[in-house]
Amino acid sequence: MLIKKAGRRGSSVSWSRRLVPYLFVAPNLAIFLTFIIWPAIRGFWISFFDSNDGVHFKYVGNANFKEILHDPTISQVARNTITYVFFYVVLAITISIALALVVNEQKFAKGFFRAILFMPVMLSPVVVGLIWSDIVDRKHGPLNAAIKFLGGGAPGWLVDTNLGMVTVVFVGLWVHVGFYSIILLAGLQGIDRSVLEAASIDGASRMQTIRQIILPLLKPTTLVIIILATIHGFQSFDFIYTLTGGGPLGATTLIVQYIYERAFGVPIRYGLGSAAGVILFLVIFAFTALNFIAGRRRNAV
Amino acid sequence: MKIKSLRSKLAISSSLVLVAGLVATGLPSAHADTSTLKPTAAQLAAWKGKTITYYFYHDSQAELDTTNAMITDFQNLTGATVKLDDVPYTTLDQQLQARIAAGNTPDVARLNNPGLYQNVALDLETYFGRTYKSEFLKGSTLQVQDPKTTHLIGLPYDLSVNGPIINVDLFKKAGIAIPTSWNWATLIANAKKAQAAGGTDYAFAMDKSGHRFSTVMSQFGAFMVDKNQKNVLPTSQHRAAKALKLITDLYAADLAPRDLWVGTGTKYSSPVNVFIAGAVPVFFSGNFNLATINANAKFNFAVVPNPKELNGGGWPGGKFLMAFKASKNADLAAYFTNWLAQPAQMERMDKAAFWLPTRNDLVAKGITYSSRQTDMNNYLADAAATPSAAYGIQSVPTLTGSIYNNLRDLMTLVMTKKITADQAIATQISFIDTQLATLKK
Amino acid sequence: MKLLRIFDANSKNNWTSASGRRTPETATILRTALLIGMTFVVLAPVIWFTLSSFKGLAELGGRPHLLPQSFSLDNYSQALKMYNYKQYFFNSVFVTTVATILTLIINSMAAYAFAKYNFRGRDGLFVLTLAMIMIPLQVILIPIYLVVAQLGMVNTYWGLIIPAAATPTGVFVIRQYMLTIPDELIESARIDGAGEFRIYARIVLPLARPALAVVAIFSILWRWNDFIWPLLVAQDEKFYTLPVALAQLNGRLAVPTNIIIAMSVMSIIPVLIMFVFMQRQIVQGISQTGMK
Repeated sequence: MLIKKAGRRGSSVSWSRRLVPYLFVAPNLAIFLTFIIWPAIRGFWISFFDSNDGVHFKYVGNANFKEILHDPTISQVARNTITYVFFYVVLAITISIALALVVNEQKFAKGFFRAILFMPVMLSPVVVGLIWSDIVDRKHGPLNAAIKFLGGGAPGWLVDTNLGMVTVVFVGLWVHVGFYSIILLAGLQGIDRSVLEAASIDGASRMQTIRQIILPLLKPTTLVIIILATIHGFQSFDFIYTLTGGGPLGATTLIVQYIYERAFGVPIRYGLGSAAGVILFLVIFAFTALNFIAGRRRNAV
Repeated sequence: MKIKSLRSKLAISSSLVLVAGLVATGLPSAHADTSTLKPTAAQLAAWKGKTITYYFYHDSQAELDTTNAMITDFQNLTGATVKLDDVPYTTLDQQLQARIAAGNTPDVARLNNPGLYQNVALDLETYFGRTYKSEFLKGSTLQVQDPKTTHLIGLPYDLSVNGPIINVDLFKKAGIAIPTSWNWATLIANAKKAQAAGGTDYAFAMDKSGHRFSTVMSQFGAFMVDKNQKNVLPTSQHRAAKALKLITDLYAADLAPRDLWVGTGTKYSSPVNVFIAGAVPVFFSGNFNLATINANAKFNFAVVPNPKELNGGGWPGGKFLMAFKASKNADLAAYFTNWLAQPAQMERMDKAAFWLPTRNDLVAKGITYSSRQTDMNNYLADAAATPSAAYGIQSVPTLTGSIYNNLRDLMTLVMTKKITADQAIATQISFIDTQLATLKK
Repeated sequence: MKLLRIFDANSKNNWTSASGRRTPETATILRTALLIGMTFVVLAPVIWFTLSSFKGLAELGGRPHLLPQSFSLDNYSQALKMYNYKQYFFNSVFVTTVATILTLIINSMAAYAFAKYNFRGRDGLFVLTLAMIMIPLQVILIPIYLVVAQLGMVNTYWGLIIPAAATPTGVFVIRQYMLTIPDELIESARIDGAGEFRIYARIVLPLARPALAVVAIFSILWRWNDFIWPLLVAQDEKFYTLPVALAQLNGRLAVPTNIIIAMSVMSIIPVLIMFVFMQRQIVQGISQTGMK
């Protein structure tokens, strides 16, 4: 009977079981191909053309790439993007780990603090831009009013080229750090209590426990945060555009805004926008790949 | 697929009927005066139940309300439906270009930058004749002319005039009489005095716009492009730099809202809310903001004449109507475009929104506004006093947008002391040269 | 890190809760201070913004005051009357809900295939899915727009919902979780004669609930606040979602700041409510899906 059943199973396995996984993957794959893969290929293709209306295309070879690389603003845009991503990622990781450790130890109202952490990420980027552009307004914002009350001056948070970048990094962190902390909290909860108890029995101080036991065990989660933060950093556009419009003097214009304006500015230049997109993709790819490899290697050791 | 071909069959047959009807009754275009234009029975039959999209934006609530009311009238007149798509001013061109690229072209649009749409606009003279152009102000029609055929491909919808608006209460507090004529030195002195007397945040404010600033340059005798598409900024270089320094110094000294200008990057920003809040005595803008100020300001305000240096007067601008070739109801779209610009409709809109007319017959007749007549008279006087050289830049309608924007960006650099006014003007000169060179291609 | 060093200097064995320690230690004080600071930094701007929503246009342009002159609901009533807030709200709700359901269905189906089946091309497809996570929307924004336009999906609900439904992150998270579901459950169901789809729907999906919750929440948050793509696709006002409507208002010649703030506050409330109710699931879900 077993053999018969196996035989029956064997024949029904061969065609229906073999077909089924493809059927399961199909809908997702269909959307993938149509709306991500095909446009990605097409975008790569368009970057070698020039188009003002999305209908007529003129072949220009690598003229778009040359134009971007020779564009006087591109070096500023690249610098801005790298500065932003660097400070954003470094600070995001530091602050989110610190906050996660602190909240994790909290006994009273832990749920409340978790809610606080998660709240900013729920706000729309447009709303975030509106909130903060009001608060840091040089003449009428409450932040400068408070600083003045404490005896300070009135810094131009959105009008000084350096402060502009500071403000934008701060707001970016304000939105996302709590979210990273929540993920880290989950990672912390996954650490075996017995290891920590053993450490305390052995007389380890809190700092030693954190540094030598918790942080290393947290590494996989930390790697996830680094990758997420990098991707978020490179993608930052919505709230920045609402907050500063890329100003002052282009100090907060990052690569995504550059792409957006080439593609949807006046006049439209789809080819140029696509070329900038290709460059951005290559940069992110390189970054993420390096990160991943570095993380893997560290884990292997 | 079936529906599409059926619809196109209907379209073809109905337009054939229409053409036949027009030919039979005699093209209304044969007459220069289209003001009594009423839809013929054939047209009504063809248009019943059709819908056209009117891509629109508004400077003031009054414009939106009046447009909605006029659309209702038009729908009653023709039995067709007009769908109003109201979009924000700052993304007007981007969204329109995105729609055209997506095959989602509207039928009619109200535009700021008609030069960008020369290739997709409907030739209105095929509907209304060669003499149609003469109904509208000559200077304005230059901007909606097909570059090759010189046919009219759009209608001037309103004429805008740039100029100063003052907070009368603040002026009174400072003991300054409402000026009837002045120069820039007096304007700035008065502004500072009013600021001191009223304790306001700023003395002066101007829309973040190269177009607005061109008014100041014009008054100092500096122009960028002439009617033969030549770069004339080199010959008025020093005057331009003088005008530039005058305005940017105010911003650099924090006498004008620098944050609004600098802190908004490439986005447009208007300090109209600052003026409405009573925080600045002199606001250099134009009649397009008059209705908003009228609706919201809680103080006395007045439009005063432009200061006179070498020249007086303002700087021309305006909005245009265009119908598009891709329209599935092209004749209805053309009719609607024309209807909006007929004397009765234009006068109605001008009165409600404090617009200036672009029809020669209305200009000759003069419009009586329900209020703010003195203000509108000032604008009219300034329009008349505008030097003819100011209209030169209209010879390059495809380039005006980028030329003004570049000027604006250079102003940002000067007011933040990154470059001097002279350097800015020199940069603008080479920018204009490169832009003009693209016309030769 | 300096803070943690202070913890170290002033406290020794604090891990296991000591019995009978009443006096608050420096570590606890510092920790509480940090937490209060964090709460202030997060809540203060939002509270300020909400208070601003009661201020009139002229008041907003003047000197900052904490409390509005009067708690009038003018801005809110204007927002509701003059602008089609109900339509925008409906669009946001509709798009978010349908998109999330669609995402959950197709992502979990694909994840199930990757987790529990052995088929030709499985690993290659999975790596491709992972690689997609790295492509930011803005990079392919223009080509997606052109493709969607060619398919005639611009200015439709489908154009808003479908293109982004195949989220690679969703597939990844659900697949990781499904790997932990014992194969025996599936095998025994097969022996009992259950069809493949039935197994997926009746056995696997319920077990994958934590992962589904996480993906659902990410999807809801993202879709509710999504701004760039809907701005392109929703060309007619009747398709505007809340963020698009806010962005459009912000682009006017004379910006009605007071209305925008009121509308923004109204758009935050549903998300806040959802969060208050689902807070536990969110954190549980994230921890159970083992972000490793």
